[in-house]
Amino acid sequence: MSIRTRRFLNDPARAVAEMLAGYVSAHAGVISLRDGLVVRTIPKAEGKVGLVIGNGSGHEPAMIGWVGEGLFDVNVAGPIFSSPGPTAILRGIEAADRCGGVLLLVSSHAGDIMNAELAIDEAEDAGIDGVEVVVLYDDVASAPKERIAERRGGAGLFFVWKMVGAAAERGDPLEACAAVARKVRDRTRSLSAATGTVAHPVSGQPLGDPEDTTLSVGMGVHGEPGDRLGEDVRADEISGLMIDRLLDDADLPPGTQVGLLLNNAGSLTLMELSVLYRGARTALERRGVEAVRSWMGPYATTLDMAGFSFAICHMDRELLDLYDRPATGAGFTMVGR
Amino acid sequence: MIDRDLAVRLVVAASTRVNDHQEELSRLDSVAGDGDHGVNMATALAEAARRAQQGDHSTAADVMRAAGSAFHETVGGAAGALFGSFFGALAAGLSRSAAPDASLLVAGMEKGLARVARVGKAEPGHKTMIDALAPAVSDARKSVDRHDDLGSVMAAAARAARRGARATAGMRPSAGRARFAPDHSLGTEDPGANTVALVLESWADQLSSEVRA
Repeated sequence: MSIRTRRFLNDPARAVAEMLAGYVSAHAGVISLRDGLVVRTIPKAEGKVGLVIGNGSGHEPAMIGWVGEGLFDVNVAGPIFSSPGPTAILRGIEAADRCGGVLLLVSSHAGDIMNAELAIDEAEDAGIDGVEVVVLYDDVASAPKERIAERRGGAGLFFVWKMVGAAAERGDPLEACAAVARKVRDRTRSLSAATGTVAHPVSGQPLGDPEDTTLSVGMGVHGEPGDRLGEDVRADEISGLMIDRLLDDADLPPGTQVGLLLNNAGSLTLMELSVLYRGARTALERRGVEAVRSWMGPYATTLDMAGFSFAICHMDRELLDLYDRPATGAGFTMVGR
Repeated sequence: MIDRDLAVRLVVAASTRVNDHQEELSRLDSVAGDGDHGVNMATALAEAARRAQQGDHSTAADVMRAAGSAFHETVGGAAGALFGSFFGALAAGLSRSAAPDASLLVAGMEKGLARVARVGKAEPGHKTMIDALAPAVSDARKSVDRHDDLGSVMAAAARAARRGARATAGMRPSAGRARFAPDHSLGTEDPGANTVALVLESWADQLSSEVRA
């Protein structure tokens, strides 16, 4: 087994800048590049809350594909797998400001939190007020439930992005948008699985052990290892045990309605994804839980990692309404149910 | 006294040293991280050296502040945030006098250690850069209190940092990304602690070569 090291890039050190240039020019009606930031081509109306997020690159379409109407106003794309620094985040906050306050959303990873905190310090020093920060997490494998705030961010946070995006677009004030973000976070759980690893495009170093091809459940978005599953475990069993773990952690009783996300971490085929999804629906039905909305495809990838994650979001009337509101990003279109 | 020109030479020395060891640092990082620590630190320090040499600086504090901004603006991530904060604190320490000496540099290092601990929410024993920085700052303080010269102070700091970095091999991480694989990195030194040791060693060597010359 080997990992793919030959990539179709010019200079790896320029890969992020060239990606942004190409991606934005392919979707010029939705997003533009301004001073290195991905921004909406048609800005949100004045007086509404601006939404901004910074994240490492290599996880596309997160988050460059999620800038647009009903989604983010600004994405600050950092180096590969590294949060952007405080200066860039501060510029993102300024660019997202539509005179209605700015909500900085942070997927909980050490570097993202540190740089967000430094950016907020700099914003205060510069006399910029009306900035709120919400730190988001959902990954059940990263810390036990008693220490839920230590969990890291995973693909389930797309439920947060979608719903807080809708709240901001309809004109909810800053505090209400922050409350939506926290509410969705607290009702969302995710768990990932992957086999093998990928090579870092700049350093060429593999994330983790390149010889190890066992299926690992609970792997992080940078290849942080999880629990091992044997070769003989079938797709249905994998979906079943992952869904059970999510439902147990969220403590969801029969009769509950959830949104179900199956995220492709990079190189799974639609065939595999669909088989896994089918297994997840069966597992949910067995527990009497209804998947009322579904997403399936690449949301938060790790380059071309052979892996996936499941996420569930416990829906209610308010969240369903926000979920169903229109949104358009270069990497996101609303499809059916 | 630590003047503008000496500060520039120190930043350049750190850049050269880390650049020479970047593959080793990335390899250490690939065990429990994402394998780019060496590249990131080399990139940030190259930019720091460029800003130090080309900027319109009048004091050592200006140079260190410019170096810190290079970390914050070019690499990001946890390491960028932490090393950027450290250089920023060094600048704050040095700025307290028009003619800063070893004792102000050590005051800056102490401030830097406190800032890194606050931003990184890490303590000694968590297998982070603190495990090299804390003993280095402590030994530098003892040396300065003995009224040693700048070269001896930095040599003491460098020796303590290297000892601290070596000791991280026996630790399990409890901060940052590596904490999700606590046993994975057992036996491997922390890359951030190694960068601290390399930077301080480069400064000690630079100062001792200037004394000889």
